[in-house]
Amino acid sequence: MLLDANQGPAPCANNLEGQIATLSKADHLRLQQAATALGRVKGIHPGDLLQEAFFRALSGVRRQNPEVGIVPFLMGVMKSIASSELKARSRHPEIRLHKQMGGGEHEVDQEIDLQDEKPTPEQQVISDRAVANIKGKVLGLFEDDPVALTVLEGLMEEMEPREIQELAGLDEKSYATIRRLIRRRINKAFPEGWTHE
Amino acid sequence: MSNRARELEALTDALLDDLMKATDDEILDESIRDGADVESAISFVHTSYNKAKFQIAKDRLTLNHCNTIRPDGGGNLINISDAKKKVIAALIANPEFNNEFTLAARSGSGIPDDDVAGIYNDLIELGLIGKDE
Repeated sequence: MLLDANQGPAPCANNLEGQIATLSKADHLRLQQAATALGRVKGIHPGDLLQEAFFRALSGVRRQNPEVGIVPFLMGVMKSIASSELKARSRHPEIRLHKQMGGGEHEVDQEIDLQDEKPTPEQQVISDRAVANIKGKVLGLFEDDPVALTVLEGLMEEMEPREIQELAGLDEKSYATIRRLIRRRINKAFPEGWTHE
Repeated sequence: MSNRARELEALTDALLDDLMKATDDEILDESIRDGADVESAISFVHTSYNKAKFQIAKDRLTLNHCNTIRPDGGGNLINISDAKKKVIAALIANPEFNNEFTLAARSGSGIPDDDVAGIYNDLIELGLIGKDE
């Protein structure tokens, strides 16, 4: 069983408390932005996402590698949760977070083991339409900036940074500036994330 | 996953990567220029953390409740595995009562947790186990 009534908190938990207490102001902003960004893509409330990440760290389901800082660790856990949640929802829309995953001490996040039900064709069309709508809105934010638009499209297509820089005619520093601009403009346009319509 | 969904996911990964690479000063500077509320972010993180802690404590409490017996007529709560040990010890010490209980109960093996409470209370009633032992 994951939680033993007689067991103290997972070793990570004691360390987690200390790390949370010493987070910088910027780290708090990073975690909030990360939760919003990841929740944005998957239609999950950012607070729920971060809470679940903390839950898994405290309960020992996810263990922090000592060489990984707390912020990247939590980002990784949130990414994993968001990915599993989306797969589970595509099968069973009523599934919510906080469904405990039973297992061993070092259990990694598991997909909820349900009968594999693919979305209906109708659901697939709706989902594709919603995503197309979101993509359209994001691209629309940079209509006034062809260079940023090029970078944005390059990021979406998972091109290498050097390829994008070459395509957009940017050096490394300008490229970093444009990426920051993209992040900020998207965050400002979708402060609470976007819901799948 | 559709191509478009994959594109949005790739974009998110890139934005997160960018977030980690930005320095603390850059993040704070952006927050000022974009009107982001640092206090709100701090509250967001700590609220999520405290809720997770509460959930852990609540789950542990539920687990404790499931694993304990409260003797009929009052007395201290006792863990099921401790209750089993006392049942076995009481039956060994009082073989004259062995016929009152099944072989499984006498040997201690195979007593379902649901039955332990009943046997434990029976032994208290017989005076073979004290309520507050």
